[in-house]
Amino acid sequence: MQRHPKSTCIAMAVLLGLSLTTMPAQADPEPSRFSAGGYMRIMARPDLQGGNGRLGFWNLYGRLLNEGPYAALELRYDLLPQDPLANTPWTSIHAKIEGGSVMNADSGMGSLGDFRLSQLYAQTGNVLIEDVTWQIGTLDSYFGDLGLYDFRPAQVFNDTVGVSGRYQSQWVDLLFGVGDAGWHLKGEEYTPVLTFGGTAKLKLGKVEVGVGGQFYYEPEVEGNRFAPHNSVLEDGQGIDYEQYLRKEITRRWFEENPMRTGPFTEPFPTSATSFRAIGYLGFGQMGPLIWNNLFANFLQKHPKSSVTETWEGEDYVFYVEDLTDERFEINVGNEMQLRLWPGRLDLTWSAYLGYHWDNDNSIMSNDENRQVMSTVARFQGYLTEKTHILLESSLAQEKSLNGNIYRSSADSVFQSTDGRNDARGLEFGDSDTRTTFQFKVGPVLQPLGMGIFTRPSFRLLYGGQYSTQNNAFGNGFVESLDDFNAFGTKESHWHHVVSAEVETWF
Amino acid sequence: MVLRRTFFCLLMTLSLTLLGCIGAQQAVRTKVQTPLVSVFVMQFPDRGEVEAVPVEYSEKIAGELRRRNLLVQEPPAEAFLEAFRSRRSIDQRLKVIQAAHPGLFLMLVESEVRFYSFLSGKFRWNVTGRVTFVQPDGTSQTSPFELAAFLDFDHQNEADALRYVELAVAERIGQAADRFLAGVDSVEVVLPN
Repeated sequence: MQRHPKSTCIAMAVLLGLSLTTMPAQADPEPSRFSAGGYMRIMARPDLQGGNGRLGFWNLYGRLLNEGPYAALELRYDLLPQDPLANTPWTSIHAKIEGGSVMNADSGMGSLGDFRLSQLYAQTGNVLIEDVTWQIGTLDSYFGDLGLYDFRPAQVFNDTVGVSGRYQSQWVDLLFGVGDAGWHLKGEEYTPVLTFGGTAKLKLGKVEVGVGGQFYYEPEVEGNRFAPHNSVLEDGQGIDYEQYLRKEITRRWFEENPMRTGPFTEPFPTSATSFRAIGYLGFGQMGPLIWNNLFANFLQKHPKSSVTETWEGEDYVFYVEDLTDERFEINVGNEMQLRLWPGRLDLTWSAYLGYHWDNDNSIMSNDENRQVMSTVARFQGYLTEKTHILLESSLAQEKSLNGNIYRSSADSVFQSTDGRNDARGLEFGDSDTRTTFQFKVGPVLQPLGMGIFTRPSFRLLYGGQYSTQNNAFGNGFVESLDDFNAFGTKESHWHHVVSAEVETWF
Repeated sequence: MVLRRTFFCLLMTLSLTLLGCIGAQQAVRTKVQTPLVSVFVMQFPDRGEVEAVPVEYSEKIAGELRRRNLLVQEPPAEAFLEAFRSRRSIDQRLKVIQAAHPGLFLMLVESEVRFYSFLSGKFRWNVTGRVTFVQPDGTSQTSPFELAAFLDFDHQNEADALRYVELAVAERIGQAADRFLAGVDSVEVVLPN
């Protein structure tokens, strides 16, 4: 390209000649007020090993080949468009519809019942305070995500409907919101869960720091059966935790009191609280490092309301706020994008650590008492601008904090912690640890050019998984050791899939 | 197991064969190299400033036009930015360029970038714009384009959004150039087979 050398002369000619030149008039149509964007992924992954077409159980091993089809459509309508020449008020409406089923691609067969209106909100700006954007409706907000996992540890208000204000400048980004998370947390047993919180981010160019949090308060409402309560037995004692886990509260009580009928606990109203704190550190634009995102959260899960047991045809409801109010999580994730060989090879490397514990539960193994850690690396080499080779590998370990939860062989149901049998089932399988290794490789076509996250991406991939757990993928095997199991059991630690797929944002 | 290995080998062979079939697209070319005075600007829906585009963005478009035997000559954008701030229509802006470069083939590429939303883990930006080609006699042709850029990080800005879509924009402008050149009488062109 040639750069014109005489810029001063040009500028003068521009000024002098403005009134001398005539051109045919052209119409400048107003830009459309409606716009739509979205996301889709769909794949053909016939699984010849008896699986459901996904390489492993979940995204801890990297989202690639572990996710099913998905579609999202986000609509935006500019009710009052922004004016570039005047700081006048503006308003827009947003709606997002998304779901994970597509005809012929999964068991849902594209049913609209698998889709939801996940976001609906209106934004308005330059009202009351300049440079502040007000939002009413759903309030989901996050500092960013771990692209290889599709995890967002630094997220707030994803469960909230309410109102927020966001101030953005060159150096800071402040968000404050208040609303109700009751529908998300309680569903059909709705009671209001008041929530407020916010985020603050300092933007220093090559470094960014962010903090935030959200607090939840579910008030005591006497007489409302969906509000938080605790069930107390006639003798003033609370519910036994092991009986609650085994769903045997009713059975045990009537075994001890065979002459009694009807309810035997009384609900006492209480309030419930929970919280979420998040942090973010970003830095980059240094040498081969394009950017590094470090996200963290520390959260207390909101207490559950109640459980229902059925005994001799009667339903008995027990309120369990005090049995479920000490469930905590710490999650830390890091993702860095590196340009190893400009125009030839890029790398994205992620790591994730989660520690989840329940102070009420020291006897049963489940997903609320575990330690998970994982690392995923994706290389993308560029044969041409649009033709690439992808190579991804992951290593993950999940460890139960309350004993065995995984089966490492088809007959492992007969083993338990310390080799003792546990037929009544607070543990499961023969191992408290699952270690998983995956790798994926194949050609990729990207019409928009280079970049690990440039889309659309047309992929033809082979993926392999080794897991210490037997049959560690969604499958149609019969696991029973019953003599009448005509299919028998299957021993398999390796899993292979081949996938033709496309993923794009649009 | 042998059958499975054979299947994977066949699959990889097929994919590599398909990759080999990808060829270069043909384009309308001028018979002799033709200078094209080109102005690239970036504007915003929420503020009046008009800024220069990233060099890589204009380079990518220039490369696409070189395939058509057009020699892109880019005068310094600063000569136009201030004038374009208040002149928002194509008519007004072409007058400014034509005053400085009378009797030449001209191209004006206007790109507008706007943040759209957080969308499934990405920061979606809308890139809309239009390219206007002008013949020496003043006859012009305008083609709009609209694309979406999906950026990974919050700190990325409008220039990054343009970089994301530069290849697609260059291809669209190339197609617009094909339509423009095919109807030009003042230079001889060669149509693709």
